[in-house]
Amino acid sequence: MRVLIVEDSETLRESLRTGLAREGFAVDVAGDGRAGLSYARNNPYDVLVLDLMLPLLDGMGVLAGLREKQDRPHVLVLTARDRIEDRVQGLDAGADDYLVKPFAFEEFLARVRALVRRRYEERSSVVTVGELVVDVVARRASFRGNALELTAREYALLEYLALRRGHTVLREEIEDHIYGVNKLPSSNAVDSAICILRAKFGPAGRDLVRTKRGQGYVLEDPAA
Amino acid sequence: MKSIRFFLLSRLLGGATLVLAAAGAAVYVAVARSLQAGLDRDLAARVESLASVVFQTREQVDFEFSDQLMPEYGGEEGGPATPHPAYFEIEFADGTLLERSNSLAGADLITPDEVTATPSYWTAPLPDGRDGRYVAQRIEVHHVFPEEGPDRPTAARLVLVVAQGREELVALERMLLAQCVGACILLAGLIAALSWLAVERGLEPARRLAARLDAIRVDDLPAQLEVGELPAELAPVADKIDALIGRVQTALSRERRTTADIAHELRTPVSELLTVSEVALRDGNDARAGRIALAKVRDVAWRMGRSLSTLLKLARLEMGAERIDRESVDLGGIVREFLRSLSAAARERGIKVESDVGLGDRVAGDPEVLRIVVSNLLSNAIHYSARDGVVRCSFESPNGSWRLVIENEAGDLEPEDLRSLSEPFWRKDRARTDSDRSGLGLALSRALAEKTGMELAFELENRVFRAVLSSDADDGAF
Repeated sequence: MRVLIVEDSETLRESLRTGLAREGFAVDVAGDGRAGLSYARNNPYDVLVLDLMLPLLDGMGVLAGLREKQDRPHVLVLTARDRIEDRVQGLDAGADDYLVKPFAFEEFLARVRALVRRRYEERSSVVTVGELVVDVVARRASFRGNALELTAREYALLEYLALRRGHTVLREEIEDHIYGVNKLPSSNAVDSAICILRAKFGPAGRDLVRTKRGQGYVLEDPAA
Repeated sequence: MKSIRFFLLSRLLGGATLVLAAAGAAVYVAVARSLQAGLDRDLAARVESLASVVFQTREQVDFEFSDQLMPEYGGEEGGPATPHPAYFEIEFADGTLLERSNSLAGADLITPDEVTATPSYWTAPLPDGRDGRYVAQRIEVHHVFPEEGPDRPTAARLVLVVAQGREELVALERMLLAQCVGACILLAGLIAALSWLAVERGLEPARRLAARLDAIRVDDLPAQLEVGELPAELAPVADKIDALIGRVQTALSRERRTTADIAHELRTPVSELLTVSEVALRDGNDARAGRIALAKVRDVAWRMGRSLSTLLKLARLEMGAERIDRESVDLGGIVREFLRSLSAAARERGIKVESDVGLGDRVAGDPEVLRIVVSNLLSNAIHYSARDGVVRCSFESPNGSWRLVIENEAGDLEPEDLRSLSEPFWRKDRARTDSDRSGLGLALSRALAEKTGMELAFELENRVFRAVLSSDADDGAF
C-alpha cells in the first residue's frame, strides 16, 4: 500500500515514514502543501496523510487541488486543530478521516489501514482466497492453517493482491503501490517478489498467484 | 470611608446640627438680650418715676411718694407684704439717705462706688435673696421751687438705686431656651429624614450600576453596561467601566488566543515525541534506530523547553516579577556579536549584512534585555529576508535619545500584519515553516522593551520592513 505524508514537522514526518515503512507501506513524504499536491496528483497513492497547517499551500488547498483527480487517495487529515468546526470543514473539503494531534501511533496506523480497506471496498478485516487467509488488521497471513513468514514488503504485496483478488493487477500497479517514488525497484523486483511468495505458499499454493503473461498477476482460488 | 450613605448623612446631619445649634444660640442670645433690655428699660422708667416725685425748695428736698400708687415698693409701713417686691433707695450725693422703699424694711440697698448720670445696670441678689436686677443713676432734682428768679436754689444731686426681681425674665429665658432646643431637635430630625430620602434617591443610580456590574459574567462580557440614564457624576464612571470592560475583553481574548496558541503549539512537539518514541519502541531491537529516536526526543524537548522558558519570561514580565537592571551597555558590541553568530545563516541564504553600528555606541539599559531583543530582531531579519537580500543595521543618538534600526526586504508581509507581529505565536504563514522558531521572539522583545522604557516599533515602506528599537532623551545614550 502506498501512502503519502504531507507534514511540515520534519521530526514527525520522518517518524511516521519510518513507522509506516516498517509496517510494509510504501511511503513518500512532502514538507509543504505545494510539493504534497504535486506528489498526490502524479502518483497513485492509497492514503494521503495530510497536515492542515502547511507552508506554501495549506491542507485545505491540497484537498481542493485533488478534487478533480480521478482515483484520488483516501485522505487522513492530521492536525492540531481540534474544534468541531475544523473537523467539519476538513471532512466537507474531502477528507475521509480526521486525527487530532497528539495521537498514538497505533491509532494512526489503524486509521491508515481502515482507509486502505475502504479504498478497496473491503469491509472485513480478514480476506480469504481459497485456503489462503490474510488478516489485514493483524498483518498476518496463513495458508492451510500454517502461518506464513513474510517480510513487510512481501506481506504488503500479498495484501495488495488479496484486496484486489480475482482482478488482474498490472506489474506497474504493484510497483506504484508497493514501492515509493524514491525506491523504484529493479526491473524484475516484482517478478522476484511473486516467486518468493509462491515459494512460501509451498507446492499446494503455487497456483494461487497466476501470471497473466504480458499483463500482470491475479490472486484467486484455483479450485473456484 | 465606610459608605457614601454614612458619609453623606453624617456630614449633612453634623453640618445641619451645627448650623441649627448656632442659629438657636443666636436667637436665644438675641431674645434674652432683648428681654433684659426690656427689664432695664422698666428699671429706667422706675428711676424716672421716682425722680419725678422729688421736690426741692430753699429749705428742703422732699419726696412725695404714694404707697398706693406704687405698691410694689412695699406699701404702707406695717401693711401686707408684696410677694415679689421692688426696692429703691435715694441718697444725696454726699451719701445722706433721702428715702428708701418700705420693702427694704430699713436695710441698705447695694450702691456702687461711682454713680454717673448715665444709668448703670447690674445683676445681683436682692435683699430678700431673689435674683435681682439693679440700676443706679445720678440725677438732679427736677422740681425746684421757686422755679425762676435769683432765689431759685441749686438743684440737689441725688443718687437713685432701684432693684427688682428677675424671676419673670429668668422664666422667659428658660422657656426660650427650651423652645430653641426643641425647635433645633425637631428641625434636625426633619433634616435627617429629608437627607436620608435624598441620599437614598441619589444613590439609586449607583445601586443600579452595582446590580448591573454584579450581573456581568466574565465569560459573557457586554459591549456596554446599558444601565439607562445616569446622573452626570456617574456617567463618566460608567464610561470608564465600559472602557475597562473593553480592555478586559481585549486582554481576555488575547489570553484565550494565547492559551489556544500554546496548546496548539504544544500539540505538534508532543505528537513528535509520541510518534518518535512509539515507532522506536515497535522495533526495540534496533539499537541505532533507538539512539536516533532518543536524539530526536532530546531535540524536541530542548525546543519545547526554550518555548516554555520564553513563555515564562513573558508571564513574569506581565506580572512585574522580572528584575530589570539599568546600566551603560555597549549596544554596538552586542549587535556585532550577534551579527557574527548569525553570519553562517546569512551566508547560507545569500544575505548581505550592512551595519554602521560601531563598537562604543553605548546606551542605558538592561544588558540581558538588550541582548535578547537585538538577537531576536537580527535573527528575524536574516530568517525572513528574501534570499540574496540585504539586512541593514543603523544606529543614531540625537540629543541624548537613540534609535537602532534593523531593516530587511519585507517578503510577503503586508501593512495590516504589523499589528500582529508582536502577538505570541503569530506567523505570516500560520504553518510552522521552521520548527526552530517558536513565534514568541517579537512578543518577548516588545514586552521587554516596554518594560525597560524602550520602544519597539515596526514599519513597512516600499516593501522594506524596519524594526526600530528606540529610547527617548530621558533614557538616552551614554
